[in-house]
Amino acid sequence: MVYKRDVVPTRAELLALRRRIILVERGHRVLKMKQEVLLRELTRLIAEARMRRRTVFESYTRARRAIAIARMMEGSVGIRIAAVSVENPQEVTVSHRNVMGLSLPVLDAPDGIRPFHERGYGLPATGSVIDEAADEYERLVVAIVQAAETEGAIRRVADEAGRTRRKVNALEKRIIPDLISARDRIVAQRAELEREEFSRLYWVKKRKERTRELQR
Amino acid sequence: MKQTRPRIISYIYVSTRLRVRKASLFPFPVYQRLLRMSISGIALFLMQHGYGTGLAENVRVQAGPEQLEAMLLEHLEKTYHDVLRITTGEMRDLTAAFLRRWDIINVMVILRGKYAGIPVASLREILISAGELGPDDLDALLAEPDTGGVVERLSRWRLVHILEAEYHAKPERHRFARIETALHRAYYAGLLCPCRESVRGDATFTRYLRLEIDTLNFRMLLRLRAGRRTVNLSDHLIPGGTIPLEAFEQMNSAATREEFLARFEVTPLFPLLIDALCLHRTEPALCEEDAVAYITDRWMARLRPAHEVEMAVNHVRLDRMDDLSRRDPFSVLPVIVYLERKRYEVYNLRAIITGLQDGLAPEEIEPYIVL
Repeated sequence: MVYKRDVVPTRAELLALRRRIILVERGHRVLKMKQEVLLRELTRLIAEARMRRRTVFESYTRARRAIAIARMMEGSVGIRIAAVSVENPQEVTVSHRNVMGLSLPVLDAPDGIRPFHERGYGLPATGSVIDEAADEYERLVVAIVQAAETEGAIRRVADEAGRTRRKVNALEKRIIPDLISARDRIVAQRAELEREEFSRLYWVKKRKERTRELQR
Repeated sequence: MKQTRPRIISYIYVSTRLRVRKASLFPFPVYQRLLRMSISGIALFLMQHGYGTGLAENVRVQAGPEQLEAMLLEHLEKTYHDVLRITTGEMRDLTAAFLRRWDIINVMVILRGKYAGIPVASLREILISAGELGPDDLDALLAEPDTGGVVERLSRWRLVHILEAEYHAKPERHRFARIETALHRAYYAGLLCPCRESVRGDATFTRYLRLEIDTLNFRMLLRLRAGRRTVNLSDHLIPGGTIPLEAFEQMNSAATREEFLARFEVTPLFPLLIDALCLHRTEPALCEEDAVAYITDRWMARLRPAHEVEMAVNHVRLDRMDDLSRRDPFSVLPVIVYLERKRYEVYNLRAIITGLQDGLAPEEIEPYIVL
């Protein structure tokens, strides 16, 4: 109720309030638009995340099967040795994209499946089951990075959408009504003051006329 | 003459003994039975069939797959030592030379394990001291703090000059893979030594080795092809097989299916591989034309899994090895045949146990059993 208190019913205040209402309404419109864009982006991201999560689960199932077969053929430690032979682990680069002033993460997944001779394990003593397991796990890593990008973006967009919704609600339900009511109060008070002034002048005039009549 | 006769008797004795042992290896129906058993049932079965009580004990205390694998490998190591114990003279020398491949495997496991900081106990479990490096040597290598120490400690090893050269070579990228390939090349070069004319059955042994190199090269070619990028084959292939390395280069550079087929057809591996695919692939069964199409399709599409072809290559190698050992029954070949068959028996058991532990269905495990 901050706009109802401490409001001096002056013309300057009324003009300031009017300007403020115009500004707040403009901000409200922009925030409303932002909220719509964020919700649209969120809907798109949720659909994408659902698809990517399914891809992760499918890749994971395939990777588990491939590693089970590789473990069958090469043994647990054989797999471990092949895994630790990898000399240059792939890196994920993080950049950002902008949606309505919101910075969303963009994770650049490693460039797909590496040729196995670049993985670092030897050829003569290993079987192709290791290549297949490594392929599947590299696909899984790509799928996980993509899913992480989408889910990270969802979290940020959802947070921002929530914040924007709260701002819109505050503007809609509190600030704009308060400002309007303050403006209306000033208008009403000013009208009242005007009426009082009118009445006062009327009585002053009346008194002056009566005095003048008595002097005559 | 006085020396030759005991030598022949020794060949006959050992070959016959190992042929009998080979007959006692598990046939396919046994694997099918094992696939339908529980892990503890398998352990009990193995205990009753000469695999010792350790395995059953490990299963009873619900040991992890690494412990079970270690038990199986320990059994394999005992078998190797047992065979080395009963062989004498040249036969023992050739067998020991053949088993030196385990030195390379052990050295590479130790180097990679040390590099990655894998606990010594885990590494020790999977080392098989069947070659030149005995258990004490392996323990000493494991006690070294880093890979440099391991290389220094191997100063008296036969292949140390190759190891040192590759270890200190630049660039350091893919150093271990380079070392592994170089050691395998040196190993096969040493086995194909032409200075053994006096050794009985050496020509057959050499013929087998050449086939083994061919199959190994073909497997690597398939894998490199599926790697989707053009690579320098000469960095990976092993010279010494019946198929010259140029033929592999030509196959690798073939642009069309017909070109590949024309180059592959003239290799001695082609009919063997097609037969193996026809014989061993049952779901769905393949006729000769289908088998050719199966390989060429995969080749053109750079497809994985190449494992079925790889399995067929293994079958080819083992079948061919059997044929050769039958042709020259009193040579080192029956020994090598037994050792290789035993190795695959252990690998099959490992495949069954770990496959079942990982929840794979018996039908999924069965195609990976090598017979």
